[in-house]
Amino acid sequence: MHLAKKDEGSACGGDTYTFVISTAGGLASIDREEIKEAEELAKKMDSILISAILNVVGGPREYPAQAVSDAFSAIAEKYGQIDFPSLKMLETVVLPKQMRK
Amino acid sequence: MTIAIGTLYSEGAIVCADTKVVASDGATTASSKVFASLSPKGRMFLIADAAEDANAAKMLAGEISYAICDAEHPYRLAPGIKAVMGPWHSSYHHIQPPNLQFVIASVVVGDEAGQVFLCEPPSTVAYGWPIAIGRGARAVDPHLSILGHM
Repeated sequence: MHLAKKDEGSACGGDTYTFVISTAGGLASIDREEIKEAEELAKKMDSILISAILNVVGGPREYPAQAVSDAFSAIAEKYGQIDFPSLKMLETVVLPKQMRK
Repeated sequence: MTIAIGTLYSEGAIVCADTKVVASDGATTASSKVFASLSPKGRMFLIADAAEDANAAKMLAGEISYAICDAEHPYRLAPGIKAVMGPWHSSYHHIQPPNLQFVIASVVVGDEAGQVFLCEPPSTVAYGWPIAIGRGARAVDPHLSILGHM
């Protein structure tokens, strides 16, 4: 979503609405603030990947390779810790199996 | 013209979309482009639209929702969707209809997996996941395979 908003900003933007449905009959809407946090992380990851590409192709080197590598590891760790507490809503069954005809 | 993404995960489906709406005169507003639909037949749907005409998209998405909720077989939804999109497209006669795309995720409660498909009037219904629609799709398409491993 971050990439689309960045590359096609004239057509894409605003908040991100995310809905999840489960085969257990759950329905959840992820809180906008939680998605915003995830998109902020994506923004940082995108910036690091661009720096890495510039290092590889020999473009202007804003950061040394080790700094890029360290920053990537730090962001990757944050990705591993990302959490969406609003997904708890999925545990509430809105459409029980018994209703299935 | 939106970015909306639909994908499956191990226990269901996810659909997300941005909220920016750009009018033909360039004015921008914010509105939800995703809605959920629950059927008494134990089916759950998420529909997101990417459209030049937001009102037309909402109307057609509503009609598609009714069609798929009533479909006889939960895994054969394409005929019902085409039966709704075709007449809508034809109703414009000599005028070019607005470009619309939908990503629809469907789950049958109690079954093992869901399905995701892309719909575009008059008769395109393409199954597969993950799917991105709208103008933002070209920015995310090269990265969509990441979602395929969820």
